[in-house]
Amino acid sequence: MSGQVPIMFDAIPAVLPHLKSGKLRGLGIGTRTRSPFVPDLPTIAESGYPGFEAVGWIGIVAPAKTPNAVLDKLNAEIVHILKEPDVKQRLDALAFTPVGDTRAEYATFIKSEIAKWGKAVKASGAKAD
Amino acid sequence: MPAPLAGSCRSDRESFHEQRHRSAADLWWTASAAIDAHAQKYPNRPIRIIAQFQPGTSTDILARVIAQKLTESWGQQVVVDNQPGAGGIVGTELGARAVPDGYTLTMGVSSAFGINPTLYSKLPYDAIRDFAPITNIALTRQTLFASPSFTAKSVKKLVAAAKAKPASINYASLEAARRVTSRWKCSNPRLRSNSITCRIKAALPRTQT
Repeated sequence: MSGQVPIMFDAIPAVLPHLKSGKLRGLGIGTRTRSPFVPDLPTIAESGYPGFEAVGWIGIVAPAKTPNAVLDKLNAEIVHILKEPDVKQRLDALAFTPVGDTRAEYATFIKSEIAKWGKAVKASGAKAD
Repeated sequence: MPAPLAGSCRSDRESFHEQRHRSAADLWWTASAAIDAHAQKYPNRPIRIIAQFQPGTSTDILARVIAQKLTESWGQQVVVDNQPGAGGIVGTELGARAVPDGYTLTMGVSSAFGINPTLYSKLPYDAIRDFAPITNIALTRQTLFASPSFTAKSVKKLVAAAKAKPASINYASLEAARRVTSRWKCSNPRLRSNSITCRIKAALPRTQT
């Protein structure tokens, strides 16, 4: 924001106010379709890099061996919360896309994401510091 | 009196087996009753949700929305515990080592659970083995953006500038610099370039200007 770093990559919820105020300029969005929050911002895919997709996700987990009954209770309550009109409205305003899937679906999703990024990291030779 | 003795032996053996069955059944029943009782009473004390990034970040915002609503529904205090550091590794490790009783939950963020496991040969937690997923709360659309003074006005021009002058552009990620660099480099081979380096490794709160 101070101008020392010219480009950045982050989730829309964190940058939306700065895009709106003009402190930052969007170059491209990492999803397959444009965002309703910034309809004028082209996707990176349509900017000449078809297939580019980068979606972040934020869920909630418990330590392994937490009793199933407790996990079910948490899942049911949080999924219910995500359907409440005021929560939906709040998440919409912050440019989040609510999910609220089952425990099994979320577990499968995490594994598929690890597999996806694993392939990409291997192909690029990228290593963490 | 061999016959009665044999009979008595057999009946002893039978009762021993019965006892074993009964005690296994008792144990199973006691265990299930304990779990049911735990679930029925749950929650009967405050719950902590570990957020791996600073207040004001996407992870923190969602943790607070959920915490507030759970507090209202269950009448138990649900608090957000911000534990930032090392691209989410610090908080996630704490979550992995917590007692598995439902009173310590952790945000299941893509950086810590989807990408770190592929980037680090050694992590102090196992994203699959150490956790029980509850639900995916929301997706966030990743955006590439620039300061208004930056000359490249589009992704194409940025890539062209990066290729023309290697190592000339500093690049920052607000959530986890390392993962985004690799994502940026490798998600599309045509975007690969050595010129994009990371300088900022801390998450930037949404409230900061």
